[in-house]
Amino acid sequence: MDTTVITDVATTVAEMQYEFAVTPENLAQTVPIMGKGMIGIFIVMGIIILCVTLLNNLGSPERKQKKEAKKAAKAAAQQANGTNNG
Amino acid sequence: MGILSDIFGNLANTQPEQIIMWIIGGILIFLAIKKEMEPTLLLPMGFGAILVNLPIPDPAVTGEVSGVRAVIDFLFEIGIDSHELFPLILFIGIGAMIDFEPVLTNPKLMIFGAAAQFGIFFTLCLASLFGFELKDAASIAIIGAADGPTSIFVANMLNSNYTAAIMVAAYSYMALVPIVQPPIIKLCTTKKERLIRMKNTGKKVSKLTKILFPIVVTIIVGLVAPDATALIGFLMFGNLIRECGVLNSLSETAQNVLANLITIFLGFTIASKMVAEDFLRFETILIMALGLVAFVVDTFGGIMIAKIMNLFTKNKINPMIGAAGISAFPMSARVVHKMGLAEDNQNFLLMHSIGVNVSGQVASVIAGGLILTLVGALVK
Repeated sequence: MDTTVITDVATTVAEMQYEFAVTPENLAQTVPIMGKGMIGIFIVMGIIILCVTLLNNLGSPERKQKKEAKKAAKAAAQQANGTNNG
Repeated sequence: MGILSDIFGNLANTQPEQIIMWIIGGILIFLAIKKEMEPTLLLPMGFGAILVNLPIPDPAVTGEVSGVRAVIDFLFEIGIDSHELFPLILFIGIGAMIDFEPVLTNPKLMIFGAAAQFGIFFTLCLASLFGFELKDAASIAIIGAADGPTSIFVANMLNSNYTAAIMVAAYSYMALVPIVQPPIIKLCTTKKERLIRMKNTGKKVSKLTKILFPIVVTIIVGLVAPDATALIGFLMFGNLIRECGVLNSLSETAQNVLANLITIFLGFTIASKMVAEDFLRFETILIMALGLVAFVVDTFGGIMIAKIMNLFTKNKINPMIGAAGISAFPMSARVVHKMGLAEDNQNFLLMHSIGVNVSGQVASVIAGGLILTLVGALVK
């Protein structure tokens, strides 16, 4: 690669211009978005947490065991009633 | 001489800007191969950057952009521009890869995922302060989602002028998580905090819960942030395929073949936006800097919420796990786990950090949806 190409490349890099200016007035628009966005995320995640907790309770092994124990107790009571009647 | 000028005539069309882009492409390929930084994306992007910056005959003469540029432009049009197809299909693969069990056993970990999205909104303010248009500021901010498909989706939906720079920044910083996060984590935590051991809950999650979770999350997010429905829907569809237990071959295909195939095209397609005249701007450097800020503030947000929770809870939380809420699955969780082991070789934080990490994945999609809802309404 000859020196002209290197010079051209260097000139191109040097000519990249910064066209932006600091504009504090834009914050008036974006700060409320930040507030709403963060509150929104926490609310949605909170709802998901509640749902997961609920799902965990519905499908928990302890709950199943309790259900089965209840069934067994009911069956035992019915059997006992049947024996008494007989 | 005539033959030589016929053969090498196109050489004269080479612009210095294109040579810079070849160098940038070369750097991306170097980082992918030598440093193994997100090679699946940086390598196709690097090669694509060289490809689209090869000199072509003047379009004014030929009448249209021809050859390879036309093909890659077409891929961009159908894969990203029209309906964000590539990022969405990739999300099916990602959903199939994620095991939500750690967060289902300990749902409160999701709070960290939410807190670690603070960097997105902070960067939105910062980018607009630097004079970026609102749609561009929002697109730059979403780099903080640390999630490539979400960044592409949001930047494209908002029709940002800086899509390529945003993609490069998002994937570069995801690859740089092991370098970016540890100093921030150390700076924000004391040694005593880093030594905190956390008990594993030891709870089991039922299959029913695992199956209902993706469905319930899709409904909730779809109702609250409708603009994120496509993202969350595809992610959770992938997860449902994984968890249902009757589609194992589909799940494996989604995790491997589908995800790999789309990744190849995605990296290559993004490169179509790395044309010198669009990419070589001072704004690109500024976007890279703002992306870094987003990652740093995300990490800070996650750690701080853990510290605040420690003020009120009996079972103390190791604040380092908050940093994994940044998404960047699973690198961020591994970083936290390794840092825990470095402080105390018996402190295994992986289950907790993975839980926070997958929460971050969901939270980043919600953040993307909220950005689209809140900003989209203002820029339309």
